[in-house]
Amino acid sequence: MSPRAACRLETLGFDPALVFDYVPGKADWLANGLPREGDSAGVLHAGEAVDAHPPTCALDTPVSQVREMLDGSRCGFCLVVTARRIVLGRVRRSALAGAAATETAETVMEPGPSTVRFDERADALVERLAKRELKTAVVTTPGGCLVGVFHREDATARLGGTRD
Amino acid sequence: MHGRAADGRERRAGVLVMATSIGLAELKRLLDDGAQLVEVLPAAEYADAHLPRAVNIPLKELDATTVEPLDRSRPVVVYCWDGL
Repeated sequence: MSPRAACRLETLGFDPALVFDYVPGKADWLANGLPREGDSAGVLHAGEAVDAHPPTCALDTPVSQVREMLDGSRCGFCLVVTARRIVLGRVRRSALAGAAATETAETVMEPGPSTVRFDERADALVERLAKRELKTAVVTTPGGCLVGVFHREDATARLGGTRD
Repeated sequence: MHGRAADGRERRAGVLVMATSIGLAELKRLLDDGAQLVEVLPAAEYADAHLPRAVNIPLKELDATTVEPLDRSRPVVVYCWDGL
């Protein structure tokens, strides 16, 4: 739609050098957690209800370190990310049980965990997770960068309901 | 050779000039420089959520009258949901 709008502006005499088309559009803007105006501005979205500092590690992090990170963490997993925080995998606490201390996160991680977008409505996500009996969701930007971990329990409390 | 092609697009040195597709980083730069932002989705979608300071001119209503408030001397950035 926006390419046609840009073209239409040009046919209406606008200087093509001054007409730009933000092709990724509103979906991209919202999914990056940028400010919005409008009726839904006050609605809580997934990216606004995350723990922004969940346990993370690199591919080559020794399992012993991952284990230490998860001790005392409410998260049952550690996310494996790149230096740019792109999510590569997830190491569940249960996967560490039988692993040798010298193994790395890469050898025990589940690659490509499911993620949700920043701009998904928190109330809808809470219901979706409850239906599937899941407690958390990993929230990323459209580029796959980690935003944080959405905890169903926390979001339910913030929404002021009893969606659990 | 300057002028306009049959479809109205500007021709500079024989080359058609078309709007530039941009991403988020370039959009932010343009907005910092005072670009105007136009959402071309229907009014209901605009009312639900739009980018800060964007105005709404739905594609179906884009004509000489509705674009009058736009300043032709400043950059104009159009957007929809995802370019489709």
